[in-house]
Amino acid sequence: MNDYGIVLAVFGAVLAALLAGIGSAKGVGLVGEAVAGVVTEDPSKFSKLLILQLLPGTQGLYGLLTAVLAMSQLGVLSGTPATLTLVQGFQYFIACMPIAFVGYFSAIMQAKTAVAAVGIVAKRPDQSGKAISLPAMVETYAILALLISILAINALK
Amino acid sequence: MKETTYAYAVGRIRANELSLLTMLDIDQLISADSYRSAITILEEKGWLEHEAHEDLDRSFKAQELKMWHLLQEISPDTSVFDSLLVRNDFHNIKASLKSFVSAQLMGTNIHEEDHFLLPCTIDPNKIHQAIITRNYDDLPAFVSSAILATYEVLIRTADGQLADIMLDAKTMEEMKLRAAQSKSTFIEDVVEILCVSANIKIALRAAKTGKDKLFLETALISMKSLKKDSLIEATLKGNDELIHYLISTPFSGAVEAMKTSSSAFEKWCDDFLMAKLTKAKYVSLAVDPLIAYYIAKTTEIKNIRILLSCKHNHVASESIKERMRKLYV
Repeated sequence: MNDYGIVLAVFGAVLAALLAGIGSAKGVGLVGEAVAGVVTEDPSKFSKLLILQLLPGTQGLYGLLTAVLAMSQLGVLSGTPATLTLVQGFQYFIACMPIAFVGYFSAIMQAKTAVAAVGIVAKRPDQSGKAISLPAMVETYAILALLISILAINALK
Repeated sequence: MKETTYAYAVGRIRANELSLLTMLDIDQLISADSYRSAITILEEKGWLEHEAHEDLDRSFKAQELKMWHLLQEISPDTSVFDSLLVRNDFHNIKASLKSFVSAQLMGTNIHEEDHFLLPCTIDPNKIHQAIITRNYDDLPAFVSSAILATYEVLIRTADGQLADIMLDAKTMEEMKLRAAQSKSTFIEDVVEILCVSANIKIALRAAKTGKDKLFLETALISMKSLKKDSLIEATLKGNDELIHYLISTPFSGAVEAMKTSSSAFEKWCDDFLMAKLTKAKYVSLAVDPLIAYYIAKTTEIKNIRILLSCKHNHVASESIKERMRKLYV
């Protein structure tokens, strides 16, 4: 029964990387399609649009960061996994969930906002600063979720 | 189809919207001192190719085809345009049938291919061949049934107007059907406006010429915002009653234009549709901007056609301005 604690904790870490990563992959792909459409007609806008495409990619990094932190604390990376009770494992699992879920959904919502912003850059490239700030607002909630996950994992030391 | 599949297409359309003419461009064209100057402005903007003015009709058709090829290239599913393209199919049926029947009855020879409209969902030459050979097996059911019914009327009565209204009613029914199949509320709304406008135009003409109930039953169709029975009832009572009825519908804004002239009413219909289309400017992941671009480009071509025709006939700038449709950008 003691083995289940570490399994549950690692499962949480994996979900953080997995869900946030899937969200980012979907998001970056979606914005990439919209960017490709504009660049086909006007290649000069590529650099401004690339920033928009990169924005939903950060959630994947946040998920990865959380997973590495949790697994490092659990001794998984050093090859000496800690022995955890089921309750302790569940605590790690729960600690990883904010960035897992918020990462997934915020990446997709950010991508949709970025696609709309691609339209702004396509038609009014002089307004690209404003266009970038709109999807950047969604990032706030991914950062908040990352913060909570990191604080919660640290608190379990 | 998932709306996210339109990301690439909408991106390309947004970039292409920059090449649409604006009202400023139209004003510049209106104030051009001659037809030749207007042509030069269009050539400088890259809207017309050099020497294209020698055959403007061909240039306009080429513009429409260029736009259609772009939409075909980028659309994940081109069937979403069917509700708009079937209008051209029915026009081609009309042109083909009339030329065939004229040749049969009067021995006149019309070059029907000059009157075909593109883009469309069915190759017009295929329609024409089917009419000549009377073999409709290769045509979709909606086309063959329309041809058979209209041919019957033309041969029996030689009444071109009756044939026209029958085909127009079938066009609207098919547009409604295709719009419903698209599962896009935007397309349904666009088709609703197009069909209601067409219904009102028919009713207006019928009220002025005192057409009977049978004519109206054949020519009009029922729409969400305009019930056929009520429209027929009002039309039969005359022009004033028709206007009175329209005031109680979402098309009350058309009444003033209707009182002015039929061309003013047609302009009002185009502007009303354009007001609906502008909503697509703020949509990023749906078919709406593609549909809006299609109509925006055809409206632009219509404006240039009217404008050049007016310039050619030395119409005053103010009169040209009154005829210009609202633009998308």
